[in-house]
Amino acid sequence: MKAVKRKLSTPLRSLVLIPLLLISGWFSTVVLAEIEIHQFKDSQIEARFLRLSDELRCPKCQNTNLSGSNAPIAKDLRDQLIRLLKEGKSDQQIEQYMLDRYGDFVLYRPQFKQSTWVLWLGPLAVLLAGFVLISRIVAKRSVERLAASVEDAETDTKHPSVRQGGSHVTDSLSISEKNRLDQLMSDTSLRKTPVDQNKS
Amino acid sequence: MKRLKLFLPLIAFAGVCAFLYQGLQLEPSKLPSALLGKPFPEFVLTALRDETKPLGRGDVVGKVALVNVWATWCPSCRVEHHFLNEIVEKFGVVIYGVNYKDERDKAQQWLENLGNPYRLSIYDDTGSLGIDLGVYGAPETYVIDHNGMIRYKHVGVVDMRVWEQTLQPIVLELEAVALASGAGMAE
Repeated sequence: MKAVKRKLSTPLRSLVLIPLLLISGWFSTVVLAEIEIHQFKDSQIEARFLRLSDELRCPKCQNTNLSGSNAPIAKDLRDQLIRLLKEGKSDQQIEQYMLDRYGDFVLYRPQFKQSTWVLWLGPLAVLLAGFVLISRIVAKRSVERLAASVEDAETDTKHPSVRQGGSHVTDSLSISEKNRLDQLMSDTSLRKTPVDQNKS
Repeated sequence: MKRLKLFLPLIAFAGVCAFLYQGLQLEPSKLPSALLGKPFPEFVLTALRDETKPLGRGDVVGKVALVNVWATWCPSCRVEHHFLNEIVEKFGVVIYGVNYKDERDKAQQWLENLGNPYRLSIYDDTGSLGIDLGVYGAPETYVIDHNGMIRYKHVGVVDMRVWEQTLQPIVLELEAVALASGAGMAE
């Protein structure tokens, strides 16, 4: 480390030092505002504090969490949060504590209960309704397409066997008709220029 | 039936519009209190005028009353103050003051200069009672019944309109209930 320092020339050193000084100056105000955070001796409690203060909403500022707000009430609630953590309260107890005082608003992810189930299940219900709607439209369209193609076949062909409604056209052909069909299929001169059977 | 189906998107659109329009009328900064129907919290604090005089829940519970959270740093509280004086003078309501996160000297000076509408003033230096009450900004005014239950919370300035249209009917109703349930508690 010392070797590296010695190698730096003076202009280069100032190039590194000046931004460092600026950054440290900026951090000193942050540290003042968040001085409580640095009193944690237990890293686990610190992690829980960070998680909870991200998860809890500042009641004064509409859409900022406790960790992101510098409103006085957010500071008070952060302090209270630390107090509760040091008292050994569980995350659930702390959330309930805040809930008892500030209502559902204070949790970014409100508990699932009678007054919040629409919030939780509403999007899912809309999604499901969308799926149902789309699948019904698709099903309806494919039925329509099938009906249309059958209709086309019925109007275009003059062959009586199709009108009888047989699904396999060849089943309803008479023996002479089958022979004629075989003859046509084996005719190589026709095979080179395939022509729609219906129209020929 | 088919023609009705054609109008379905329009009806859905109108529904969404109505829902959103209703949302425009809501005041997002006014949160419903989580303490409605719950007992006024316990506290151990001192009187604003005398730091040696302890005050607790027992000092504010017993009759229908307003509990007003205020501070000298809060401009709306200054707007509100003379209304509180007027309400007490005209209607004889009991108002308890919670001096919220304030300086004792300044608050005492304020009451001397502007008049004191409060039956009792609680000095909540750190805002601990404030947190237990779910206070998120001053002024806030609570209505408590004769059993010390919180029945209503008003966020913002209490003026004559708020008093006459919102708070007074609640107070009168609670006083009637208190009388009916045995006047012993209601004084």
